[in-house]
Amino acid sequence: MGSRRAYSAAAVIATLLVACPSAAEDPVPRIEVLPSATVVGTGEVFNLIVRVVTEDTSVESVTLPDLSAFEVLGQSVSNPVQVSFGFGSGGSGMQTTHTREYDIWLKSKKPGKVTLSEVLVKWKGKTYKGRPVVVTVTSQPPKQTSIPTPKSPFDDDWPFKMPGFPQPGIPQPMVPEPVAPAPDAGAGDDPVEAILEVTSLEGAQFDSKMFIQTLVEPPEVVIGQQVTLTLLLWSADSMVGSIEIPTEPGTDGFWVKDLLPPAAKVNFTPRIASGQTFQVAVLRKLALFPTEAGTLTISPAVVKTSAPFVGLLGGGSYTRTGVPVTVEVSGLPAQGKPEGFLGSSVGSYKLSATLAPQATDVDQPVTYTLTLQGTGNIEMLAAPKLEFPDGVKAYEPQVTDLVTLTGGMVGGTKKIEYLIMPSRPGKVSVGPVQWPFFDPASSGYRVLRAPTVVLTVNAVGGNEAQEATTQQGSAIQPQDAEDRLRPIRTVAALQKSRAQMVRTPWFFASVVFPPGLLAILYLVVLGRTVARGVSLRNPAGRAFRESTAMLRRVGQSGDHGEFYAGIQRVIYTYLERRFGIPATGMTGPELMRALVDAGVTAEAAEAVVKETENCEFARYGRSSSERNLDMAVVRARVLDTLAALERFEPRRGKAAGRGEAS
Amino acid sequence: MKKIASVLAPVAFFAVASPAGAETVHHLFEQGNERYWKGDYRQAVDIYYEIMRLGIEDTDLWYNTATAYARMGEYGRAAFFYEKVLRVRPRDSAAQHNLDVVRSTVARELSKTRQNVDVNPAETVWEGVLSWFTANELAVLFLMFYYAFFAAVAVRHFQRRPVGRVASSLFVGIFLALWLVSGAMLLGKYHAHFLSHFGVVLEKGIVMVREGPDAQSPRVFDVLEAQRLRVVDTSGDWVLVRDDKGREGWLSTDQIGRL
Repeated sequence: MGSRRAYSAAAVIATLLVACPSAAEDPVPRIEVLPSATVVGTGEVFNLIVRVVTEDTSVESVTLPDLSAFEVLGQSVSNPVQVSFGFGSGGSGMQTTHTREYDIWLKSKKPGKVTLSEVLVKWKGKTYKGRPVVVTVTSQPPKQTSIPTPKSPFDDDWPFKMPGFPQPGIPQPMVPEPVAPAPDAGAGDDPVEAILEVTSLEGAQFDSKMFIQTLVEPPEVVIGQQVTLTLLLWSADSMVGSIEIPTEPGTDGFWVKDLLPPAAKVNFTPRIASGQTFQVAVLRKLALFPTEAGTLTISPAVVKTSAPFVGLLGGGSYTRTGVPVTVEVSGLPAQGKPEGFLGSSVGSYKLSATLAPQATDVDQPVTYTLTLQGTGNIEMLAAPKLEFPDGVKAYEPQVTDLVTLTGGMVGGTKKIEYLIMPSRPGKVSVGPVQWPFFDPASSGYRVLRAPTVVLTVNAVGGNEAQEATTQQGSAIQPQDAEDRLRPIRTVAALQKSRAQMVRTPWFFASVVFPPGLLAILYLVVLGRTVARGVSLRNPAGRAFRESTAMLRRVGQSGDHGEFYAGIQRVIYTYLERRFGIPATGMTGPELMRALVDAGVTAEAAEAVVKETENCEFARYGRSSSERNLDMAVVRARVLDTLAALERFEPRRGKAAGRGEAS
Repeated sequence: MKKIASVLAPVAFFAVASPAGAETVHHLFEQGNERYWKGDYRQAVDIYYEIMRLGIEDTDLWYNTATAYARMGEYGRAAFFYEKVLRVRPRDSAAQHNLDVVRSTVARELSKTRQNVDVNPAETVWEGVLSWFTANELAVLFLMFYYAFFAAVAVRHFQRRPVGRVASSLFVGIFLALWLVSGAMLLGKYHAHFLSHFGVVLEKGIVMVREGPDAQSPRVFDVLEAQRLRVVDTSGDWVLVRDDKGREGWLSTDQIGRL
């Protein structure tokens, strides 16, 4: 219990000590000198921050150290005020913390040690000193350093929070595209520098509370030449609330490019005009490219501001209108205008042409690239007109603009890429290319020339073609030649789908045709047999066919004896095969009986016997009337006789028994 | 919907059938190629699909589509279209090469997180021989030997001299054998091409094959992007597949492209 009381008393004392530090000591300004590096190379750019923090009131003056050993590239000053409310020992109260911060960009000149002398601060009638800082400059080459945008209350690392500070959402003028950051952007791109350049109040109507100023530079140009318009806000109040621009500066007759980033931050810098201190901010910075000649008037902008703490820290809401300013625009001279010149080609440029790759296969594309680089309205430049040789197909060019700002001047690179595809092997020459433009610096026309480039086309095509280069943006990155995808095809039949042959009706018909043909032939023969009256069930029908064939062959030598011998052989062979009757050597009656026994009618048997006897007579009897008959007639008669026998079914059992009878 | 279809059908027919339509199709094809060469693979694929919607089924169109997909890193779809090309033109060396590149790329990428990655399909000698021919080539061979056989039979029938009969008998035997072999190959091809169904895994990376046609069904085994599988059956939005090891399981229809 006792220890608890002791802890409580100690806590109360500690709280009082922490809560009332000012009661224990007199306030002094906090002075910080912070170089971004204490060792830098020769020619290296570095940053020096001098910060003075005071309470209740701001400092009266600050004397910076001697910076003559360095080249001062840029400087900005900010005066944020932090307001806090608390409950001290004397009750509730408001406390303000004033900060003055110098943000200086320096570039070292030569090697050696440079001592930055003390910062002298005058505050409440007293002078305070900071500590000196030594910066060593070595002979090393400079490192890559970029100058950042000055801090603002909207940066995450902004040390002070100040409600009511101007918000970044100021309406932007209608511009085609945001400006890409310039890789070699210098101090000239810093809006603060534009303020430092102000030497008069031209383009402004002075007001002791607040006014706006419209600056144009240069005021006299030719068509297509850049004019830079800067819209400044001069405010006598140290703090300004929200800023609106209900009316933008009128830019009729100009092609406009915004020189500030889309989410521009408003930074105020102290300046003196007519003996009075103002806070000055850049609200707009535009590059204007006149599109017509004459006196072009930029109508005034209207700016509205509101106070951050009405009735607390003073200040108020204002609406201010600028003054109109004029720009004198001359037309381009007609004299010396080169052929092919286009009106928008104004500025200072270089032209180059490349071909990648320089060798390819037939029907494989290569890229011919024209690059225009320089200062001027790069987006409005017209591409040079190109004519490619026969046998080369060119697709619509792909135009890429990279706009940069250098010293407040719009410029950059226009890349025009032609995809071309040779259809014949050999050497193909592309170019030369000429491109005229007007140079305002020399007030004259100039013509740029890109030399001829030669493409070697190999006579390899189809599936064997190889990709000459790796495709851009490809997911497959080849590790060796085998990993490289073969190129796409340029020629295709592109027809509707056809059924596979095996599934077509005519394939089925082709398969069926040979056996079908055989079947038809068989049926024809069968039909003819039936037509002759031959029984379809007759198993010996083959004997008749063979006998018929034999019959056609006999007598070809023209000898009658041989003919009738052959006829007789045909008849005997037929009887042997058809009825199983061995007719050779049989007498007429024997043959007659055998035929009847085999199932043949007596009439038909008699006809057969008669034929055999005719043959006998004709062979041996020279006076036989048969010998005078035509052989064809005899063949036909014998054929009829045999055909007549085809009607009878042979009874082989009885025929076989003829031997016994004989 | 029917009305739209009835209006579009003649338009599509005109676009393909008429000379002007053919020109339009070729112009689209060139546009797609141009987008490809400029590195805009997605738009190139869109244009190739537009041509396919006109009823064009062309191996060169599929080949270009596959190559554009390969460039985009969509290896499953690339393999799907290369397989389609090879089914119609099995000896297309460029398509086979690119398919090998795609599958080796998939294997290389998946082997970073998994061992024993093999995307290439297993193939028997018989399947290899069959896959070397197209169905049309085998059909022509079959018909050729078929007719040669019948011609030899006819010659033999009318041949009277013994030497002629022996020679024609020899030809009858040779053509009969060739006819039977080509017929067997044609039957095998017909079975593989028209009766069997295959698919290619479209989904990226490693894909779970499920026990049943249900997203909540347990995993049976895994398949890999661009892998070729046999399609056994379908059920609604699910496809029953079988891999080279004979394992079966279900994939949803958006995970597999049916050849």
